[in-house]
Amino acid sequence: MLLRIIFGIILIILSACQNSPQLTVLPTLAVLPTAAPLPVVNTVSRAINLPVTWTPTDTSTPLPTDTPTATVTGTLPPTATPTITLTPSITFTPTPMGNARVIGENGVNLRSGPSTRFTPALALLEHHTELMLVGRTNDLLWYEIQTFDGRVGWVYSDLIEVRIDPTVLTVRWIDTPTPPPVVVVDVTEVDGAPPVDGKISQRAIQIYRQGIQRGNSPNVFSKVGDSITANQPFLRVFYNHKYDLASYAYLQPTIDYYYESFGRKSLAASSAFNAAAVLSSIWADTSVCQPNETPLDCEYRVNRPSIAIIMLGSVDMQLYSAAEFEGYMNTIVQSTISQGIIPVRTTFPNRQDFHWYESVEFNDIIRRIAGREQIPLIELRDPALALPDNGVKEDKYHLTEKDSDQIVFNSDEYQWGLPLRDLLTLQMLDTIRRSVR
Amino acid sequence: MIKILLLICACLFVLTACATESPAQVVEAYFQAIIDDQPERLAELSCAAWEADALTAATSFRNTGATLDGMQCEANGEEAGYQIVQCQGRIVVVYQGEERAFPLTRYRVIQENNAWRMCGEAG
Repeated sequence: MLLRIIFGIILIILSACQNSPQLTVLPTLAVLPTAAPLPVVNTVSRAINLPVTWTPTDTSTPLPTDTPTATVTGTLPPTATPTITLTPSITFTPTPMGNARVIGENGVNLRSGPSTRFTPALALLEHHTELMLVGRTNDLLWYEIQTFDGRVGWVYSDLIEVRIDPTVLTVRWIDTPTPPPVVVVDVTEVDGAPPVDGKISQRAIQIYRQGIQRGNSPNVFSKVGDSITANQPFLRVFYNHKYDLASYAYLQPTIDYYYESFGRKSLAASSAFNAAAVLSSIWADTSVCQPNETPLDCEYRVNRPSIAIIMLGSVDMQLYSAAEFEGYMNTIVQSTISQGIIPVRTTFPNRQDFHWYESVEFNDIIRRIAGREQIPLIELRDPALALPDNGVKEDKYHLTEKDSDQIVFNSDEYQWGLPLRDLLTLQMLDTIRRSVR
Repeated sequence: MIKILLLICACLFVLTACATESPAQVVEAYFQAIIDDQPERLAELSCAAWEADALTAATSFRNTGATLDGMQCEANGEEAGYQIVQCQGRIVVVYQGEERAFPLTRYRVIQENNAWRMCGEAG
């Protein structure tokens, strides 16, 4: 009887207890934040994107050359007996005039294909050499030409003057689409043409244009990353004028164009940052950022960039799973794109005895996202692994740096990881600048 | 006598279960769950709109050896339907021998499903 009374009392108390957390249904546990849906850029036709990607591997194929053949039909009339008349004359041979000519001060390299990958060059055509244009690439960056002494090949468009409407020329070369686009260092380049040819994808250009319409700054980029980006003097040599471009002198206009960004301290790059931290307001600089604003959104709001140079993963692979990393990186990329900013992903190197398996997996995720989203990718890892110590310090993931603060290209990028990253990033900025102009 | 003791114990148990955490206690528990990387606890302590952010924050501190230094929170009025909680103290992370601190500030707490829930930072 007493037990029944006890039960009764308990039931009465329980029914009176309205705020018991045990009686509430737990909220659903979301493992990863849901990516925001993409706006207009999703509608870009894949067909438009086909011709404008490139890789360091030559996967191009020439189109079949047009070889028109004439067929004579009918019956020829009988001919009269020929009469030979000798007439003395003075032969005058005028200087041949083509529909283009070389304007590069040092001439231009004639190559067997429309890329600096076609090395060595067939010949060096001198300044003011007259040319006949016979074809072009679909992006008008390269022309197939013939010289008046019978040489044929491809020349880079910036180094010649074209006297006709080039769009009437036949497209004689189409690059096989092989995303993602990759920047490589081409040490053979000497004639002033870019060491990487091609452009960013049409989708990236579309993202950029949407951003410009929304007020993003065309000559501003943001850095997003961990201590490799924030604490190491990434790109600072260009701001401090502590560099010698050597054979990469053609990159100087790009340094001038983005100059202020090279020296700016990013709100989305900091020591110990990881992909989750970039998306978490608790990591934001409270002196600048608004309540509940993530470091990423804060940086984009304050800086209004058109490009984001993103390198994350070195810290992440030490903290959490590849699946979580992929989720956060997807969110970062989608958030960047939705604000009209081109996300430029960068792979990262490390020592083989330091989270090697994770690093391979995490870098594959970076490449996969870049390929899927058709956004630019800086392939730092592969060339860095060929450097002494894999291009990383004794801590096994921060990039090696030169002792001196003066960087000399065509040399230092073969010794240390940071100059290599500086050069590759500068090349990518140059490619974007040329592509969107 | 034993039955009376059982009755008292049962009443105490039920009363303990009934007790809800105050807004300040919720915020303190929230940050403890952040540095302890306890996703289920964070789900209990966060409002629905803030849940994903809470989980991201917890992941960002995972395996970093983060600690709470001098945390003390108290209710500090209301704003736009939220209970405001003001906190002192900081989250501390030591990364490569360098200390990095995240000061605790003001937070919004809202009642959802009959319990107070952390719902983001207040201005």
